[in-house]
This record gives sequence, structure tokens and C-alpha cells, in this order.
Amino acid sequence: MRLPIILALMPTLAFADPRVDAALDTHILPAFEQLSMATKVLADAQTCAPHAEWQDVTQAWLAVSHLRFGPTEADNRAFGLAFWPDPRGAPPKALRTLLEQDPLDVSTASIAGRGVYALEFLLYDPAFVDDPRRCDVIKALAEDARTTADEINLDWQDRYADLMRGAGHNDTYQSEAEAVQELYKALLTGLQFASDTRLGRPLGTFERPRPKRAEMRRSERSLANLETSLISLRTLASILAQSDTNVQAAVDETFARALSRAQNISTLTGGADLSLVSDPIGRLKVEILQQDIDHIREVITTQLGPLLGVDAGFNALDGD
Amino acid sequence: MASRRGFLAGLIAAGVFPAPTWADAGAPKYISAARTADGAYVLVGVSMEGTETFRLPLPGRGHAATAHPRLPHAVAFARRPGRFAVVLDCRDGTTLATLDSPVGLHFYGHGTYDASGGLLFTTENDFENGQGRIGVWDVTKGYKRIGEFSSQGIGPHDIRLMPDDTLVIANGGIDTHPETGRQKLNLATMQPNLSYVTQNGELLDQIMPSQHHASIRHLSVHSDGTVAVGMQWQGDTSRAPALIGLHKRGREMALLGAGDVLDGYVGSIAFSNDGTQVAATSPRSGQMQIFSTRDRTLIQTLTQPDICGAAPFTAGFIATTGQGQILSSGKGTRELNTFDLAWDNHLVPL
Repeated sequence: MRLPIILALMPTLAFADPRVDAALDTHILPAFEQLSMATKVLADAQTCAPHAEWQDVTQAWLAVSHLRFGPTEADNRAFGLAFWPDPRGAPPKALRTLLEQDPLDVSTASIAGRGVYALEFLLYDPAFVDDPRRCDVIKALAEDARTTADEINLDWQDRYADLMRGAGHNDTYQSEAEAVQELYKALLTGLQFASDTRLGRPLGTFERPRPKRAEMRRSERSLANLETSLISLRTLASILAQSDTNVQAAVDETFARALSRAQNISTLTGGADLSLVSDPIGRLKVEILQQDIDHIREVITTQLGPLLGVDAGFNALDGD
Repeated sequence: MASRRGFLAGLIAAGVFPAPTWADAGAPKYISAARTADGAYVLVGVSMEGTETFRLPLPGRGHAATAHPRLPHAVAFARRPGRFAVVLDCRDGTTLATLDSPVGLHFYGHGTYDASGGLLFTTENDFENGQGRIGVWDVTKGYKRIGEFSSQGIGPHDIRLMPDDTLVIANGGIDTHPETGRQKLNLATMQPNLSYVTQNGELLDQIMPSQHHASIRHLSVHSDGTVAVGMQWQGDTSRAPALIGLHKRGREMALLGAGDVLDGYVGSIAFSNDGTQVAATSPRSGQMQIFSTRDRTLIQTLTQPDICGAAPFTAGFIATTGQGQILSSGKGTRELNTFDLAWDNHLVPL
């Protein structure tokens, strides 16, 4: 008669959806841990030129940038780490304010002047190279990023992972399906962001391409960011599709095609920062990559969605 | 130049011709935008029994519609950041007018007529300046734009006519720009508000939710002047506060329910006909919650995936889902009808 008591003591963890468990253990938790470690290395560098450390943090951020729910959304944490896109050019203005601030206090700074995107300006934009306060601000922003990344990581480990594993036993996830749906939504939103924003912004219109709107063009990371994000989304998609190897293979094939296209673009002049969108032939290549990503979304919506039994939701995903 | 249509409208207004009424459009009781199985977008009239009274093509995905108080006109708004709204004659689908938002502005997807039906007010985004605007259109001149004023906030979404002919505006507080699509640009600093203005745009009253990440989006107005507010939480949904509000000018806003149960998201809000109940839908958590407005307690929960449209129905409520169902509340949930349509966000009562 001891069995019911044991079950009563540990009801939630025993029945978590295997896909949610796998997503947490092999994707989400390690990726936020990696972000936390990378920001620690950046903060500990204490140099005026932590370019390599910044690259690692950026890479780590891109790998979690689609996981915009729960811990990243509390207290504007994700925005404090990554404020992009910004159509009104707020980061340089916010940085000017910080550079003139005495004493320096990043915690009160505008969100646009914090995080990896603001650091990119300080590290790569010639407009900031000679500022006497530049070094101090780089160090302070690095420290601030470490604090934020730690908060997110701990919140995932101490609280939110259990909410997802215990789906069906808490108000955040009222059924196991809701936790799966959250991951599915993150996957689709990440792909939409890749297509509409990471590529759509620099593409602009045929008459007016907008290469200067490419993400992190100063450090020439525009295409690399897209690739890192796609690789991370591919991992999540594969985990979600694990119960059907045919669907898993079909989805994976679409990612492989897009990534190989991105790889080809990276070898071209103007590929890394996507400035090739100004040239009609280059633009066409980026448009085809965008179509590849839209194709991933289509296969996911038509094959993975039904497999998971979750509907992305005509209204649920609408956001109005 | 007076258009023929404006001329006719003038004659109708002057009582020279008998005006067409909603009875001429099959007497729908509700209208809603929807997506068809083959991916086209339509505006549909729905009867009291949940059957279709008309179906008219739309140029793109709609959001809400607004019905003229007397004439069988419906304004179907594009989903934001849309640049168009079409005014349809619901008798035959004739496009009576196309509203184009002026340069630098786009629609948010909601609007309201004044009591006589002579003016239409639309919520708009002045996106270069990140400021909310209300567009004013003259119905009798063929829906000519005759002015605009400040919405008194950022991101105005829903707008309603009050019983005293003033307007109430849900300023969601979220700054967006067409270049970045629906990307939210100011979540860190957003400040939503509920603003009461005259039809000339003078601010009469304004309140803000206690937590600035509670974006005020949708409204329902009861004849006693109480406004029901549906909010959307811009943060960790597990920490969402109550997202249903009841407000009367000059008083504090009363909050109902628990936001995390609704997954931080209210899609539509509606008073019952007698005002004793208020319903809020959450397509994200797949439920409609019905509360007593007297003691603010939860009376009933309807569970259905992607439920979003909500409107009063005899004693209780009628709701639509993205999977085609039309449901009614009351003594248990009743499925009135199922269509091969994805009903869009809002079910608008006539």
C-alpha cells in the first residue's frame, strides 16, 4: 500500500511530456546556462576590447532568442540583454546619455542602451571609438549583461522548468498540451522573426532595399545570427517531432536546405552583413533564403502541428 | 464634388427615400470576419440561431468590424498594421467606400460610429512619432475623412461610444512601427491607459492600470456607463495579474479573475444584455470566463480551443472559435453551429 503515497508525493515530475522534458534538458536549460557562462566570461574580461567574448555572448543569445516566454519576459530581462529591432535609432542616443553620465549607473539606463546590441555599437561603430568613457561603459554593460543572464538562468532552473514539467498541475500550464504548445509557438515565432525581421528588414522593398537595417551589420554578424538562430530552432523542431521519424526527417530537411543556402550566401561579398541586398542578384539570393524559411514554417504548420495535436491557433497566435 | 453615393445618403438622411435597414441584409444579429477553408477572407453575418445571413469577400485578413447603428453598413478593418478599411453594404456586398489611412498612419483594427451614424471614429497609429490618433470620417459625405485628434496615448486599439455620446479609448501603450511589423518596441517603458474624450478629442478622464505591462486592448460598454476592459499581459504569463477590469468614470477600476489562468491574454470582452455579467475570452488558454458584475465572482467557464469572439446572447453569451464553432453559454455550453471557417478575433453584435 505504499505505492499511492509515493505517487502522491511526486505526481508532477513522473508524468511530464517526454518532449517537454527533452526540450528542457537538451535545449533550453543548457542554452541558458551557456548564455550565463558566456556573459560571466565577458564581465570577467575587464578589457576595453572584449570582441571575442562579446561574439560568444551574442552567439549564446541568438541560440535562446526564440525562447521568449517565462523567465526572459519578467522584469524586461530579455530587452535588457537584447534590444532589437529599433526603427527609431534609440541605442546610439541612449549610449550617448550613458557616456555622459557621472557617476555611471547602468541600472537606471534606457533599455536601448544596454545589452549585446548596445555593446556592438561601442565595440564596432567608429563613432564611439574615441570616447573617453567608452571603456567604463563597456565594462559596466558587460557586468549588467551578466546579472541579467544569471537571473534568467536561475529563474529557469529554480522555477520555470518545474512549471513546464508539471504542466497540468499549475495555472501557467493547465494541461500538458499547453506546455507543448508553448514550445511549438516559440518555434513558429522564431521562424517568423527570422524571415520577417532578420531578413525582411534589410530586404525592404525591391525599389528600396535597406541594407543598413540588417541586424548587427557593424560586426558583420547579420547572416551568422540568422544561422545560429536557425540551428537552435532546428534542434527544438527535432525534439518536438521525436515521436514520428518521418515528420522529423521532413522538417529537418527543410532546415538543412535553408542552412545550406545561408552557407552559400556567406561566401559572397556582402553576404555576412547582408549588404548584398542592394544588388538585384544578391537580393534574389536573400529572397530565396527567406522563401526557404517560410517553407520550414509551412512544413511545420502542416505536419508537425497536427502531429502534436496543437493548433497554433488562428486567434491564439494573433496577438491582438 | 458631391458623389452620387453621398447625394443618396443625404436624401436618405433627409427621409426622402426609405433607408435600407439591417432587415434587408437578412437580419443578422452579429457580424464577424473569418478565414475560409481555402484561405480567403470574408465578412459574415450571423443570425440569432447561429446561421449565416450573408458572406462577403474581404481584401485581406480582417480584425474587428463595426456596424452602422441604422443602415446595413459594416466597416471591416484590416488587421493591424493595415492601411485599409472597407465599408460594405451588407445587403449585396457593394463596397460603399474604402477608407485609406493618411500617409504616416495605419489602422489598429477598431472603430465606432456616433449614435446617429453620421460619423465614424477609427483608431490609428502615427508611427513615425509613435503616437495614437483617432480618425474622424463623415458618413454622409461618403466616408470622407474630416479630421483627427490625439488618442491620448500610444497604441489605441478599441474605441467605443459611451451612453452620453463621449468616446472611450483603450490605449494599449505598445509602440509598433510598420517596418518592424508587429514587433513591440517599448515594452520596457510602455504605459497603457483608458481615456474618455469628447467627440472633438478633449480629454475628460484618464486612468492607468496599476501595472504598466497590462495592455488595455478591448472594451465593452454597458448602458449605465460602466466600461469592461480586457487586458493583455506583456510579461511572464505565470505572473500575470487580473486582466479583466470594470470601470466607471470617477472611480477606481475593479479587477476580476486571475490573469495566469487566462494565459495572460484576454482576446475579447463583452457585457451581457442586462449588464449583470461580463465575459472574457482567452484563445491562448482556450476558455471563456463569465463573471458576475455585482460580486465579481466567476460564474461559468466555457472551454474550447481558440475561443475568441464574444457577444451578448439572450440571457448569456455567444462565442466563436478559430475552429469554426459558434457556442452559447447559459445552462451549460451549447454548440449552435459549426462552420468550415476560422472565426476571427471579434464577434460584433448589431
